[in-house]
Amino acid sequence: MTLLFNLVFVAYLAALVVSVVSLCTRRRAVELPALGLLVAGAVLQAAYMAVRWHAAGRAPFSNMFESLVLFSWAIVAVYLVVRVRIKLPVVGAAATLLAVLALAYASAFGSDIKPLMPALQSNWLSVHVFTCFLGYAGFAVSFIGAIAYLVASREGSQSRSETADALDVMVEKTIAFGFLFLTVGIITGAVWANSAWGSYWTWDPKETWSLITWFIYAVYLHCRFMRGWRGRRAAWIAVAGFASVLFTYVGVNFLLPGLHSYALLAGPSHAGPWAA
Amino acid sequence: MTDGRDPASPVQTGRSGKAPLGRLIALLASVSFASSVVAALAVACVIGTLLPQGEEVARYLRKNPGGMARMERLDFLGLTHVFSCWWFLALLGLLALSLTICTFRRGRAALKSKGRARGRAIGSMLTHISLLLVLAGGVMRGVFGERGQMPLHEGDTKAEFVEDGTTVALPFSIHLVKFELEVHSESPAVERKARIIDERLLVKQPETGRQWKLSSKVGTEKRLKLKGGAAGATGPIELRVVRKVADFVVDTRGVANRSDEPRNPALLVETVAGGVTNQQWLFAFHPDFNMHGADGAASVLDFRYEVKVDDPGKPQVKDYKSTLQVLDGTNVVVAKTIEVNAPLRYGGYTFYQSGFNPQDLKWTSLQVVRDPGVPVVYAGFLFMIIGLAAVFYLYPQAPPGRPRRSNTSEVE
Ligand code: HEM
Repeated sequence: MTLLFNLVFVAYLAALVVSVVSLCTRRRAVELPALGLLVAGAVLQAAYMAVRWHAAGRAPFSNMFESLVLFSWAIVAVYLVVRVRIKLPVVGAAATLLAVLALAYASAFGSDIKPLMPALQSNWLSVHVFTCFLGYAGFAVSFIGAIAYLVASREGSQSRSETADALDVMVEKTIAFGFLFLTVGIITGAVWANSAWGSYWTWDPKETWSLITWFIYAVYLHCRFMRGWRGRRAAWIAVAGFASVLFTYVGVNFLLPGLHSYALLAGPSHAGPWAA
Repeated sequence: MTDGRDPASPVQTGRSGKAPLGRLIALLASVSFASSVVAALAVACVIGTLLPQGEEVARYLRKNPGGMARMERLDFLGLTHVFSCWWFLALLGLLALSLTICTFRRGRAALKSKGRARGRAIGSMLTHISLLLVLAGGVMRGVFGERGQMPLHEGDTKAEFVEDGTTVALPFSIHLVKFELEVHSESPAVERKARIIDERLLVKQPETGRQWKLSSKVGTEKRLKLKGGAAGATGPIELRVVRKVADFVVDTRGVANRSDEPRNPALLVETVAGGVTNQQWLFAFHPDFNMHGADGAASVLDFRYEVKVDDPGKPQVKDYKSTLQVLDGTNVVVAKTIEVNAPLRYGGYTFYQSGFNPQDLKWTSLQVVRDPGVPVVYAGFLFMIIGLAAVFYLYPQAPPGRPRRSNTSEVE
């Protein structure tokens, strides 16, 4: 299984190198191999998750390691779908970079399959984590698009405005996708909490931050659809939204407890997958 | 770029005329007002996760008695219980008001429009109504909800539970037939030893709430400069970590380390204060045994040795179950074995397996919940998913090429 994991890593890394080379040399010819490597990596990673699922006898979405693996896979998957519509090599390279970073970060956590504490033995949990990370991946790709847009639309930039417009639309589409899945993710999380603890919402930091993220993107959707925000202003909300995603995912676990000096003893209050 | 206010936005122009009430309603239903309320809620949520809330406040004060005045000020502003304070509830109220008005104002137009625009308008209406349902369910939980604990011993029958220290009667009784605990026998990591993954030495001056976080490495030295009160007499305190053992025992030769595993981690700390030298052991798992001296440093400072242990060999709880019977008088009306994630529902109440007593496995602990808002909230959840799917995927905005906002004007 470790072999498979390493293969995925190598495939993504190779895809990254090839796409960076293609970007720097502006040689379109190498773009296809980069894409091939990315697809191969994604297929291998799906296989890895399937094998892990089989070995553990449960969906492999229950701790930091597993969720990061899922995250990197979902980023690649979302990018591959987006690529059908717009083919911008920079976006591909950036998405591959994020996937590689997520996998590298995953390997900082133990990959042993550990037994789950009773509260985590729930199908709601698997659906919850899966949908959340699909949503996060949508936001990750929207973030890439927003940054690319901000660069492309700088004053004096050489980029054609078609490119900027395409990016603008891509950000919107990926946010809509991310928003739908984040919504499903928050809802399944609430249903799971209610079935395990008898409360669908307790305002714990993890929940609250997922709601903050949701609010930010709700504001984006209204500003964009109803008030016609386009361009840089909308792109900045997309950047803020992804910052909130990262804080919800990682910051809440590692930064917030530090604010309270008793954190070491008290442990995380969110008895979610992160507590295991 | 078409940045900026959209002149065609129907909400901005409104159709309620110039009457003050009409203008207020137009404001409440405007997208910019709604976005501001949502943004304000987001900011409130950030505050609520950064400041200690509820029970955390008591813990914070125990650690920082000097922080009392600050906490009182925060409490006055509602900042120690953001999610239940008046201004947060008022923001939620504004959100609900705004949602209600905009749903009514646009409802008719939405139903009259045609084709894709109609689907989209209904989808967005459904999304907004779903939020109202979730909020309404939350209100029902607040007003009619009950929540408490019910500890039960095997063989016990009870018709009451405890909510915030008061006993609440149930219209039926619950009988615990038996409690079972299962542990994972084949823990794959048993050969790996327990180890300390994080540790530190905390020193606190209770009088002022000042706190030092120090390394717990042997040899660590620190000169602590105290301020204020009785500490003034003591002057600076020299502190040194002298010795550390993972598994503290006292045998014939004095203090010894029974094993390499952190079963009873302890730290020997030496302090020199005002010419008085003191040595004291700090026990990570038994802070109550930390010595509190009448003289020297221990009289003005609290010491704490904190460790976090990773123990893969510890038997892991796989599941725990309680076999319950619901009794109406003496008749058994329902029997069910509950476990985490599989509660028992009866008569509007739900009984969750919430805990057990590791010292006495004849005891179970149930969480008792009555929340008539849940079906309303769940209906909201369902509508929200359908509504969003409709807006984004079933009736997406006009394909590129046509002016992008054309369908919103159709709504109006
Ligand atoms: C925070 C939670 C909210 C969410 C998730 C949400 C979601 C949505 C969605 C998905 C749309 C559809 C966008 C489109 O048609 O392109 C929309 C439109 C709209 N929203 Fe919200 N909304 C929220 C809060 C509000 C509030 C509080 C108001 C109060 C005024 C509001 C007013 C509107 C209006 C006027 C529209 C256009 C409606 C239409 O075309 O029928 N929204 N909202």
